[in-house]
Amino acid sequence: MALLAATTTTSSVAVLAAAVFLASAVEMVEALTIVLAVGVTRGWRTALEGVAAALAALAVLVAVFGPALVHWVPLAVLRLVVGFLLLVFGLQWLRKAVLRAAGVKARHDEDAIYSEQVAELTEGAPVAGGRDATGFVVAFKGVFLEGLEVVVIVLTLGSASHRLGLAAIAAAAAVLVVVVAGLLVHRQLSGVPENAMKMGVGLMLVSFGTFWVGEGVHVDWPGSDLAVPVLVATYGLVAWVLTAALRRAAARAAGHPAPAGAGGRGA
Amino acid sequence: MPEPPSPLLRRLVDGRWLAAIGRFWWAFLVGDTPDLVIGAAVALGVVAFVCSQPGSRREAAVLLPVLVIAVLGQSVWRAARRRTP
Repeated sequence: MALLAATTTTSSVAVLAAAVFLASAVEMVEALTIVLAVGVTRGWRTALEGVAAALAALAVLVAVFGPALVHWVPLAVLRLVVGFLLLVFGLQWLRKAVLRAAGVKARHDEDAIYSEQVAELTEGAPVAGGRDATGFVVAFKGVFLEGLEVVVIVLTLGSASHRLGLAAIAAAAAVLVVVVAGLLVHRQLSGVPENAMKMGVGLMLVSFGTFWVGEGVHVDWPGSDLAVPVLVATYGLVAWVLTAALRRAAARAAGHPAPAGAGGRGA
Repeated sequence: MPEPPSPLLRRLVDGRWLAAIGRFWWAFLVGDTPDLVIGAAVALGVVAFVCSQPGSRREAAVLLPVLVIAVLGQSVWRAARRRTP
């Protein structure tokens, strides 16, 4: 019995850490593309100032809402609200990943986004010696908006499971990995299998969301926490079937056979 | 004679900033998929009702994922129909 309890706790902790790490990595890859475009076209000082300002704003949000969520909101209410947020967020991620894996929606192309950003930023040259407001705002917005998703995921997953520290460490590790990779390759990370990662994150967010809204309305989950990996597997199967069905429908409409496999391969 | 309020205060008071903040969070959380938000809310309502009936909490553990799958399925299918010529 103790072994089963330990196994279920370990599995849900692993799913939690993986979800936060993958979500943070995907968002940071997208932010890195924007920062690189600003750095190359408008100067690294402007880009890094934008990044620093965005990180400071995100840190304020975490400092204000993190302790407030953990200490003041009752766990049952927290899990219901947080579970609903995660469920909606996860459904959005999963929907997008399935549509991209099936070829219905264009994949997220870091190379194309980078070229587009560079072209836009090159048009208006920065004022010599003065502050470059355009570069600053683009870098700030890129890091803040991508980072905000990370903050929401870290705060919701971390606070509802009472593992805010673990969620923060997983997010920080992902940021570190992406930044080091970016420094090593000196370009945007277009080889990252972004869609497969988004599919994985979507599956985990939907699973945690389902589990916690269920807890909030007093659903009796068989196996307690062990329901989370079962939900991940169930939703994974559904995502695979949906992707395959959409591919087959698209191939039928185009008049040729569907390609094999339905996994969310990278962009 | 009292001084007129600053432009910043006036914008705060007339609610334009609040509306802008509201629009930002709406776009951030709901975006172009209100069907997912409404579907998830309906699923949650149905499961809460089922759980309020005596002896139905175990059945709700099956019903909730089924409803979530239905919400995802209809949203994906509708999006695919819209995008496929």
